[in-house]
Amino acid sequence: MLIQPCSRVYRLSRPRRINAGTRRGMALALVIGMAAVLFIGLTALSFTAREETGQASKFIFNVKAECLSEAIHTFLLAESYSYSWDDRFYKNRQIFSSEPGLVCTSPVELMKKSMAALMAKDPLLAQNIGYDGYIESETVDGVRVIVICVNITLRVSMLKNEVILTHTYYDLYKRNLLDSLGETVSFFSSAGGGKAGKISSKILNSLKGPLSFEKEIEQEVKGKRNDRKQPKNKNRGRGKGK
Amino acid sequence: MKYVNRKGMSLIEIVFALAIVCFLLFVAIFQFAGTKKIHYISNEYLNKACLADIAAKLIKDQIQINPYFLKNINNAVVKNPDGVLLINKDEDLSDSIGGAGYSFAVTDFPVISSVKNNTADGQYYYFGLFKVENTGALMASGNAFNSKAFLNIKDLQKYSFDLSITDEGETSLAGILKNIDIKIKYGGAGDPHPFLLSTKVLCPPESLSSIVYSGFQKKLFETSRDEFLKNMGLLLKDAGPSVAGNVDAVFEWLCSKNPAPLMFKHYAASGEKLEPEYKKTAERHFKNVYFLIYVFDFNAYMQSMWADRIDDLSVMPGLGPVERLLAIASTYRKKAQLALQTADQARIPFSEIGAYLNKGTKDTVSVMLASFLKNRVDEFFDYKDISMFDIIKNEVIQLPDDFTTDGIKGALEKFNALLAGSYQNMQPRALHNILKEMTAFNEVNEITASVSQSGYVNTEFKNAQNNIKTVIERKYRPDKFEAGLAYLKSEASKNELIGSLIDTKYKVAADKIKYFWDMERIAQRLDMTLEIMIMAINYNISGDLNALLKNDNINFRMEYNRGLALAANEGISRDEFLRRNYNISETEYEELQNKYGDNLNVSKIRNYVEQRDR
Repeated sequence: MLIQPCSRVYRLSRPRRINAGTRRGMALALVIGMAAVLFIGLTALSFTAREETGQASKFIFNVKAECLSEAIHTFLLAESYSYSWDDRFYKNRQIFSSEPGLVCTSPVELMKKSMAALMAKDPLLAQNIGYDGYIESETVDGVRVIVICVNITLRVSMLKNEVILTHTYYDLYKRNLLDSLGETVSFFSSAGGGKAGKISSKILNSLKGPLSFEKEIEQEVKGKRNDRKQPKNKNRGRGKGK
Repeated sequence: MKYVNRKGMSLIEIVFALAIVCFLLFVAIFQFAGTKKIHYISNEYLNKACLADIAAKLIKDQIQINPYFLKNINNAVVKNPDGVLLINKDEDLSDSIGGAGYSFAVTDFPVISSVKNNTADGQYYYFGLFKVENTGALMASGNAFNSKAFLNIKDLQKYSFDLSITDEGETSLAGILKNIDIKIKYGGAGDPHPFLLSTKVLCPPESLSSIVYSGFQKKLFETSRDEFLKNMGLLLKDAGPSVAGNVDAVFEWLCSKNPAPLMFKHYAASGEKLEPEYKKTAERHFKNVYFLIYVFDFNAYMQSMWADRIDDLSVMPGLGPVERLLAIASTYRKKAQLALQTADQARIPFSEIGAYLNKGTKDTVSVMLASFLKNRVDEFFDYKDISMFDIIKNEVIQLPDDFTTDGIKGALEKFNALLAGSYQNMQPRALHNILKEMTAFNEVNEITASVSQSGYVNTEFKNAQNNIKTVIERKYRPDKFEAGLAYLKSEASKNELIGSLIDTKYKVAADKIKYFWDMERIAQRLDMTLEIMIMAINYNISGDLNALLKNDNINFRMEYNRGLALAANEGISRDEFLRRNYNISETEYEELQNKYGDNLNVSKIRNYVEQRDR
């Protein structure tokens, strides 16, 4: 009973060996063909799936990065309103980074502390995202502008970071009662943030307008005494123009 | 049996082939299922991210358009599935949202919910806060939930959100910065992968609590003052007259008087110079006087220049009516702002001068300061033949007008006129900006009118309220401009409650504005103080201000001088005034004149009258 199956196997195998060129090739080709088709299909599927998750990740990181950038800008802007223009902490460019080791001025340190708390709440941010940038000021044509640049980066590896976005925010410095009751003036640019170029005339014009009060004051204080025009009458025109 | 020609596969081949096929099929199915699952998960997560992004942007946009948003959020009326009508009931508008330590949290609220159970009326709220009336794009007509639109209402109803707004504790301006966390969940509270989005927003002044707003304004004024002082300090240093030279000149003039005032007799007799510590004190106070004149003169110059500009703008060709009025209103704004800053800068030096003059004629520097203030100058800037103090006094009297009738009132009139005439033709953004400007000026006008000493009436208040009402009824409501509508409604309500707000939220601003009229009062008191001081110096009467005020001799002379001045105004001669005042006949007066000649003075007349009446 035990030998029989073996002999049957032997016997069965003999004629097959005779026609091996045709029969064996067909089975192998079928399997290989099927495997190849499935492999291609699965690879395509895997690629599509990976692409989809990759794009989704990019979108998600971008959304989070936008909000983080806004948070950094808003915090620094609130801090900048805590100081007079002459005592501003960003007179010289203040560079900041989420990486440890860089010691900044107190308001920037406060921002870093606040951002650390914000990022700690969100594991995705805490594990993958970093930021750096700077805050500085410019006085162009008498207009006082706060410039805040933020880079949000993705930690790809231990040594490599990929920039998700770079935003540069331009805000008009204003400090008086009527301004505080009026509209906030702000300008936002997402291009060329890291280049730290001069403020373009387009941005400058958008910041000017009814709030360019400081400009006139500064210019007049500096220049008027020497060549001021003499009003014909001391109180002339002080109530006119209605 | 023939095996040779039999075609087919051996059993092992079949098993092998089947095993490979099964394995491949298993892998394929697994891969398909896995991909499908990944697709669903990533799609769901993307939807959550998209919704969180929309929510964050909506909140920021709303705050930008309606600064009361954070305050009104407390009372957003939304019906959630549990039948709760309010997200956070705060009907008394305790306005804590803008305060330090505020914490607002909503959990498991539907991303979209209908106002009523009947969804056919098409009124929905996004995130419980943003009303959506036209939901056509989200629903197929006739069948509410068959839309194939991305994130249609049927899909959106599967999502819920947690919203948390907390105060940022790390910032220097406590209460002004808010942390916003939005967590989007799918399928309810048990979602294992909610999407969290965190950001920060600046709390607009309208949403700040009274305490935080007052603190913010206080800080704002302090730093504004420091800044202005630095500019003025530089101006004084560069172009100002020699303060030390003026101290020396006043000292020498007092020493050369005949007779020299009591405090200067010693210097006049010995030829000694003024002690350095006195000189330093005198320089500090003289510098205060110059500072005041510089600040006031600077304001006068700018006010005059801006008034000219308003005149020019009124007739300037090539300007459209809106452009022209905006430019004019903007200039009024600058006038008001500078007047306010001028009053703020003048406050401390003005008080210091007043306080130092209280030392009266017992103090060397006080005598010098009084003499300097009352000294007539030939020409100083645009001022001619006028004392230093009169320059200051005239400007102090003029200053409230720079702020009120020539400043905020002028601007408010222009804004009201512009809105009343052109609101229908304006683009939403332009209209919104003008409304914000108008309401800001109306607010300042109301604060000013609340200062009882001012006598100022906000005659434009009614026009401002009417404009708000008109824009609500005819522009915003028909177009369903919800955020603008919410802003204007809040603004109209606030105007009705402005009285109580002035006592709390706007107290710092009200105190600043009140100073315009406080300064007038201080100037009048200073004027009287200087009059007494000069009289005491001339008659060599020593004493501090209190003692001088009680001195009969000074009181008599002051009364006499005032009476004489009044009589002169009415065309009455000195002789006539003395006769009437002391009830002396013409004959008696002639006798006295014959007796004393040119030496006849009021004390001799008083002695005569006393003896006569005895």
